[in-house]
Amino acid sequence: MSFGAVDAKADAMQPAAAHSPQPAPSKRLVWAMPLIPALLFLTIFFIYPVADLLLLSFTNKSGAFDLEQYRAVYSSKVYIDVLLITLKIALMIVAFCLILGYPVAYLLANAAPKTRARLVIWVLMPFWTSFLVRAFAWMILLGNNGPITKAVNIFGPEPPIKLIYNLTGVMIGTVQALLPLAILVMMAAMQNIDANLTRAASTMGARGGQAFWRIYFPLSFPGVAAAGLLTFITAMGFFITPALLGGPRETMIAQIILVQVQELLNWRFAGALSLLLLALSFVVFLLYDRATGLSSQAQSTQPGRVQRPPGRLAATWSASLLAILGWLGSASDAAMKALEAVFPRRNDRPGRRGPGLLQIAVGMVLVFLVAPALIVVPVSFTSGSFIAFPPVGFSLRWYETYLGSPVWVAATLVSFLVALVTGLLATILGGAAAFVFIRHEFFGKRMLVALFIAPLVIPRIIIAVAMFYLFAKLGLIGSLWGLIIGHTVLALPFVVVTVMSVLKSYDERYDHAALTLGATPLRTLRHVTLPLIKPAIIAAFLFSFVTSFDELTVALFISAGTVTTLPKMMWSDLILQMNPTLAAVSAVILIIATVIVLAAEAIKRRASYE
Amino acid sequence: MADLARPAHFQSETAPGESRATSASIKLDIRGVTKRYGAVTAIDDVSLSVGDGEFLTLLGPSGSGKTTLLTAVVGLTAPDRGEVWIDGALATYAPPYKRDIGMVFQNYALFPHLSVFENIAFPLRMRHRDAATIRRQVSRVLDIVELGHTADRLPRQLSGGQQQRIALARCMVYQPSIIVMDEPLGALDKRLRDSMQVEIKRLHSQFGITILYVTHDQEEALALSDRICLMRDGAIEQLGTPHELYFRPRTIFAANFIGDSNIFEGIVRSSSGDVVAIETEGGLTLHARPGTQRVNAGDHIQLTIRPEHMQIVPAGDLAANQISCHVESVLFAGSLMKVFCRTDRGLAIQANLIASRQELRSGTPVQLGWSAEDVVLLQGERR
Ligand SMILES: Nc1ncnc2c1ncn2[C@@H]1O[C@H](COP(=O)(O)OP(=O)(O)O)[C@@H](O)[C@H]1O
Ligand SMILES: [Mg+2]
Repeated sequence: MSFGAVDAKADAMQPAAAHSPQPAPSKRLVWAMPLIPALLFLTIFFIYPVADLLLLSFTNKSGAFDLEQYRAVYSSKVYIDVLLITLKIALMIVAFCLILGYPVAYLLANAAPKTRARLVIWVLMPFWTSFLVRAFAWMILLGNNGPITKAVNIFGPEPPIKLIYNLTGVMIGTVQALLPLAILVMMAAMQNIDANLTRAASTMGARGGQAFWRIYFPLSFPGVAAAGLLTFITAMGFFITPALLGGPRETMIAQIILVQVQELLNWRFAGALSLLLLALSFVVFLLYDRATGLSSQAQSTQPGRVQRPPGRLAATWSASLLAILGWLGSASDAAMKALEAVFPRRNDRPGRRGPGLLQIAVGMVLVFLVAPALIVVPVSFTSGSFIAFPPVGFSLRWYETYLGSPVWVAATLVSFLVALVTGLLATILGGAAAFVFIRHEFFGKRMLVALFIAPLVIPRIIIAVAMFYLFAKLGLIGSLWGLIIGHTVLALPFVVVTVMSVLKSYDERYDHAALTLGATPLRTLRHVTLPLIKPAIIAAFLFSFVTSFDELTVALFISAGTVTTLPKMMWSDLILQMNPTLAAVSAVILIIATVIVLAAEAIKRRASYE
Repeated sequence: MADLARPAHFQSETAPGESRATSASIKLDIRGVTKRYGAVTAIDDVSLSVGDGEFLTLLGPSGSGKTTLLTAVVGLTAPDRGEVWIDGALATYAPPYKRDIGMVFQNYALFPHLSVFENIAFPLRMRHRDAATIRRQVSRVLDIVELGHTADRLPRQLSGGQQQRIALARCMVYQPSIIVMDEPLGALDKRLRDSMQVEIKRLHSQFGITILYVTHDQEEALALSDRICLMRDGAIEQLGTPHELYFRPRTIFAANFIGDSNIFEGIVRSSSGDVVAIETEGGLTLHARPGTQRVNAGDHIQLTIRPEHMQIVPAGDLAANQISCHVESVLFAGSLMKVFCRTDRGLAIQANLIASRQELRSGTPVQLGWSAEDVVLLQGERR
């Protein structure tokens, strides 16, 4: 692997050995040791199974190379249609997420730090709380007797408008599920835009519209591009929300994979579909990259790197884009002028304060993100025997049912235990790896970091199926360790990203000071580095915990018998029949996840000594 | 070499024939140290000896390799080649925690999560001293820096100057025989910087510590140092006492970096006895005393004259060098007037004159004169 190359390079750079009376101390890979456990872990439980599954799709029963699976996909119109539907739905989701998310990200990025900290919680909470709970909430709200459906049909249109088991339902549910991701990515990019640039533009005579569309928007474009890409890739592999809120015509590729594996145990075909899904995502990524220059922009933020000039395609793109942006600028300025003609602006008085159009729109988006899930709380207290909103009466009977059921209680305990161990394991493995990534330069580093982030980007259904295939061979299905290993793979990206980002801003002079003051490297780590980055470590642990606690996809395949997680139990019940116990369980999951996320955020934030 | 196979750790015995490092007066010996970062050579074959109790300053513009050299001395970076000897022992690859060196960092690097007391106690705890000793020694150094009352505070609750003094105290508490300081006063304002300079100087003479000091501020270097090592692009440009560097700069770079300079280029026309005549660009003929420097007629040469060595002289004065020019502008700096002049052929000359009641208006023709001793002949560019 890359390490051989690192060594060769280090040696080539030290011809000094021949001149110095004393060889440099052996630096052979000692620095890389902390990376090894995590790397081995990912190799065995992520790279190998995924590669194995994909390769499997190219074989026939006797193990010889054969394209029969792909012929099967190609010859049946069904699968091609499903792929096209998946693509269509994913693109629609991206469009909605970007349009709804942009103003929110803009407002958050440009808010005062304190306001931002307060508001961003409303995005983070839905980001971390389970897709499953939120889909369940939508099933209540959009169901044929649900309050929203009733409200929409209040004037009795014929035929009545249906909001669930169709494209509308899928859109509402998935956009709400993926919007937080889009917002967070765009916001992160926008926070790096120098506010003085738009200010400079306005001193040069640009009106608000021109300043925004010609200056701010182009600068925010890399963030929009990244958000679009991440949303798209996640949407392509999505199945929870479409399965619960969509009809047969909204069947997505991940659902087919699920059925192929769970019901037909057709590994080869599932492998082939996985490869197609992966390939489609990859092709989109490449096209997208050519068009937006995303990866070259990402590179240019790294000091000392020469920026790759954007491709020709990107150049034509940006030229036409600029024209469009200028036009948008004039259009919005014209609109503002027209408004000013009606409501003249006075120079002798301060402008109107209070929420503008933008603030109100953003407020509505935030309500859309947070409020629907909360409905599970009142619903869980119903005294009736069916799910109803508004709930009938008040009782704790469904909590009694929940806590009185050994199966539900066992699932809760399994979820807690798995989340706890996952949190510890992921934090140790990922934290150690993050140290190596930040503290050392070596050949292939970018590739390795990408590997650690990959479980976040590769459709989860593929990872889950691949793990199922491996774990079945290892006898880890239905075991706690199976779940823990699976969830640790999924949690590692969050740990690595969290710890890397804190280490990046960590002032290494503290460590240097400790070393010159007589501390060994280990004592430096223990007495200086770890205490200083403790908040980030705890946050990483809590994020891993939450990731595991309401994870469904992997649990769907690895759970079995008594070792079944809470989300898996919920899913099984949910596709059989809705009942108020599910509301009680959802409320518990929601509250636990919320508390942990709030705690993690608070700890992360409190931690500044400066 | 015979000892190629010796282990890399800190060695207390000296290789035979290494008399330079064992000599009692040399505390720190840097021999041919080179460090590269990719294509950048941060320090390039630097050799430097620091005497016991000496105050030596590395002076140079940002990026000239001062910090890199310092970190090689304390062991935070391993040189690509060359050796570092401390107290007569080879220490090139010894880890920092095994060297008897204290370091004061550019922005102090006080541990933000520890109180002032714990910050200062840190090196003692790492050395496993008992609690009573720690308490005694910490309060001793806190008294020296006169900040005993801040023991329980966190670093962020101190002012910049106080943090600086705590950083010093933390460094002194374990009594290292060498202290290195990387632009320790860089973040302080002018007035505080001046008083801290006095304090550092006092600690130096009081405790006889060897100090290797880094700064990019020439005034600070001149004020504090026994010797100054002027750095440029990772190499030593000139090494000498502040006096030598100021009055006998050897290169244009040195002349320009320290103090103001008038720099001329010219060709040696004649050398009669110990005075040489040099014809410069702009048609001047200047006289200089090269001293021990050997110059021959026809040599292409660069020379510098400090503006403060110039005086306004009456016409017909006997000064070895005289030129007539007119005043272009005057910068009044209190005790000093910086007078910027130009000759008829367009040569710019700066003269720093003692401020006098008589005002100099721009356009006034003046005659500037200076003695041959004040002309410093420079070596050509070294690369
Ligand atoms: N860790 C490093 N990685 C890459 N380049 C470095 C590193 N440290 C220093 N350099 C480079 O080495 C040169 C000397 O730097 P430094 O020693 O910090 O100079 P100074 O302290 O005099 O400002 C600079 O060009 C700097 O960019
Ligand atoms: Mg420096």
